Amino acid sequence: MSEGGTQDLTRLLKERAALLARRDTAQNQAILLPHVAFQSAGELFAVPLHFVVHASRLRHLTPIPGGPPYLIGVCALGGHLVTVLDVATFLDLRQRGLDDVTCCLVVSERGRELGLCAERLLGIEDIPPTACQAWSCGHAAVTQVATVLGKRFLILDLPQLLADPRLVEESL
Amino acid sequence: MDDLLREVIDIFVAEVREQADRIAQGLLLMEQQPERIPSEIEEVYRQAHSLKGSSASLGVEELSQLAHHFESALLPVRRRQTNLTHEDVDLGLRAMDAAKLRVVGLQADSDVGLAEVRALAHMLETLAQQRQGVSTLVPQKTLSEETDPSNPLVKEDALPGKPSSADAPLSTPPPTEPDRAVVAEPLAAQVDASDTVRVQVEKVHRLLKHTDELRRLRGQLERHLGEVALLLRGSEKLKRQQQGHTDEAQRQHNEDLSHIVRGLRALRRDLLDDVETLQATTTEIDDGLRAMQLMPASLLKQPLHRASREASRATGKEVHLRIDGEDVFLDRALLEAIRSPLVHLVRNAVDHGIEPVAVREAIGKPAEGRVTVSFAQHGSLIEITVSDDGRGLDGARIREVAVERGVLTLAQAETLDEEGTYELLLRPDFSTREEITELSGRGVGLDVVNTAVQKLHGSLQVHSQPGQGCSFVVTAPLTVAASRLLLLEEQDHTFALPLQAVSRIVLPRRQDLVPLAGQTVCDIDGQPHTVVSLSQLLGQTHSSDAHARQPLLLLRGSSGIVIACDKLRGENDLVLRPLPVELRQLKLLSAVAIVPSGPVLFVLSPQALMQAAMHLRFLQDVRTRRKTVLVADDSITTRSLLRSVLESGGYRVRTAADGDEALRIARSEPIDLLVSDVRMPRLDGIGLLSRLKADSRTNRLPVVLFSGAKTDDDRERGLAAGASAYLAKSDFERGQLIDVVTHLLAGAS
Repeated sequence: MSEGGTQDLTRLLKERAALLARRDTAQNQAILLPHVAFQSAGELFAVPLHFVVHASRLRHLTPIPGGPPYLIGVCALGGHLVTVLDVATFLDLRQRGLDDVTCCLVVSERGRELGLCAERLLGIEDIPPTACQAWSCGHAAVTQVATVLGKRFLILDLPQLLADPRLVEESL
Repeated sequence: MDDLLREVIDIFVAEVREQADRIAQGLLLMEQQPERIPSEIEEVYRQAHSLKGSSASLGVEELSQLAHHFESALLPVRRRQTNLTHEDVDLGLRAMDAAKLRVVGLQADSDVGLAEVRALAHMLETLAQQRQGVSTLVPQKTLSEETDPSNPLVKEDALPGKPSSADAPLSTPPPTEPDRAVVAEPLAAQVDASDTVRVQVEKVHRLLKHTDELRRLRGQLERHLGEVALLLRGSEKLKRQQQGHTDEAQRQHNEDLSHIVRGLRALRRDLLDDVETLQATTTEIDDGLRAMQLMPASLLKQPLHRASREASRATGKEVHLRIDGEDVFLDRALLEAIRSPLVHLVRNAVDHGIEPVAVREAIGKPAEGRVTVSFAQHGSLIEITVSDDGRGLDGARIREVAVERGVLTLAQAETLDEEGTYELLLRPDFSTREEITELSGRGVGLDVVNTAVQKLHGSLQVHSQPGQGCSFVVTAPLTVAASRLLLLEEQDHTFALPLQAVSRIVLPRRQDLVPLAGQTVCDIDGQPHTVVSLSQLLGQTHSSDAHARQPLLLLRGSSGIVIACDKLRGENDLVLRPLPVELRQLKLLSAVAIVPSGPVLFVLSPQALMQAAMHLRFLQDVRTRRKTVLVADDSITTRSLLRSVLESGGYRVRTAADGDEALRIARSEPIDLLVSDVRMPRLDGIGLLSRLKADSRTNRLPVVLFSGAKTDDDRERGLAAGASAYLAKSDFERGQLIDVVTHLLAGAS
């Protein structure tokens, strides 16, 4: 191949690469994953929207006699009877005392429901996959964090969370 | 799975189960009352034919074949060419069980039950072939009986011109093409029937969950109504205060206020209407949904008859099972949950309660034993009694074995009444021991029955009259979903207890409460009861202090324990929900109940509370009890002397007159040290020592040999046998004995 031919090919490949890169970005932007974001113990958490079946103010929480500290009570919300989990304590991420828990997200996976208590519900965050990166807190329920507009969200892997031996009856 | 089958699988499964149950019921009835064979076999045949047809139409060949061979095998019976045998019934029942198992497999799209169905079909086919010889020898029934087209029981293939599947050579398989004209009918009837609709239980449960939410909303509306009433009162007060003012601005304010008051009154009226409407509607929906779940107790007839039949055949006993009150309706979930415990009780009654025929005849009882299951509704409770006229329970033997096994101490056994004795059979550490329960006249697993009943928030009571029979009485709420609960408050939290678990509530007087060895004991009807507070059981406090007028709950089956709570909050009928998965390991909690206008309540498990209370009392006993010294000596003088010395030293003393008795006490009671003579009848001191050392329950017990022999040889022999100390009676000194005992006990602890 002549030198000019080589240059042409190089240019062509660069153009294609640029085109592909642009397309990837566009695709990535198109695949925004909606998450419900909430704050607990000063940390921001995000749980994929499709797991969330109800969100409301937390009222009438009944403490659990003899229960572990990460299960703060049970309550009935919108027809869902759930145990309420303090996810920050559960994941050993609580750096400070329990702030006022004001609301609760009811999440559901394969028919099993659980309440996640929160100090604040932040609303829906569209999180592009590119915003996510691996992260480790030593717990399989949080292996990724996402940074969106300067805020860091811990992405909850709900199936992993519910599969934790501490949340199944044999192991409590 | 075939698309057609997938579409109707749930209906098909329900239909097959129903058909199989009806066939099984018919078989049992024919076996018990042969005079009813002519009428009953037609119904059995009709069900089998429907089963064959619907299975074939959906391509479930194995079930179609099973039903076909079942029909063929029973044809000679239907034609009165042969009698129905026990073996026929056995085989038929097994075939129906296999059919029910197979539909479970079909539902899961698996081969579950396939092999069983094929094996049973083959056995039925073989039986039919064997019987075909019979049919050639015995005259056929009249043609008109078989071919009357107006007879709904006549099969299409029995009509002239059509080969009869039942009469066809038995080696010929049933038609592979479904006979849709016949088979479509049952399924179509299920789907299109205008007066009945099959609804999955899950769907009803889902609706019930939403009625909970409606009730909660009603509670909220009632609260809002209260808030509006408050605002209204405030506004009216303000209006009255404004009425004296005359200037224009004030008049305007007054008018505005009047406007607000009118608005609030209208709002209160509307809210009140809404609350009432919502209340009425919720109650209607709730009642309707619950009524949909009620089913007659007669559905338990078949499994109970089968249990009785199988047990009587296996044991060779003659038993008549009678069922009373089969028209009582109970919650479907309760019906399902109670089935297994009742089957167990009936089987036990036949196995262990009813005596063998020869024994019954010898003692003047009718050869045929009688087992009765009766259902009765008392308010919101159902009472189910399983009774028999057999040998009854041997209370003395039960107590004896309980002591031998360490379940009771001798002292406890001596004071235990008959009711308490029978309740031992319900304990897991007792009734699972086959040899014990065989001796006491009951089979294993009564604790399992008891646990199942407890899960239904019910109770199980045992009554017996030796030689006359015994009865087991199950009492449970009529519906599993709703239950009458006693609400109680402890440390500002409200809990609930199933009301039927509480036998009595006592408000003690000050003089009834006595502090004793770190515990509080309450005298109830002359009997001491240890008081345990609810918060102690819940792990929230270590105190068991009780005060006058504090409610004390006496639970059914409690033995000398009462549970104290802060306050009683009344009774309520509440819907129970299972505990969320995350909490099921918390044994003190059995369910949750949602209060319409408030929080979720935890329902406490009475059984677990009692177990925890007994454990607490035991720990308290261990912590506070005085050390116990066992004195074994055949001389009453020596025993009395040693008792006096040791008691003055602060020890509790038990005595035994020989080695045998000492051994039994040491094995069954908490003994801290043994002082034993060497020469004793039956079992001497050295023999006693070696038996104690060989037993893991007693091998650490310190032993002081207290002997008349004082030679070195005697001493060495005693120490070599494992004695901790050797004292000669001739050298006896009061202080020395106390010193030795104190020293050894200090070392042991």
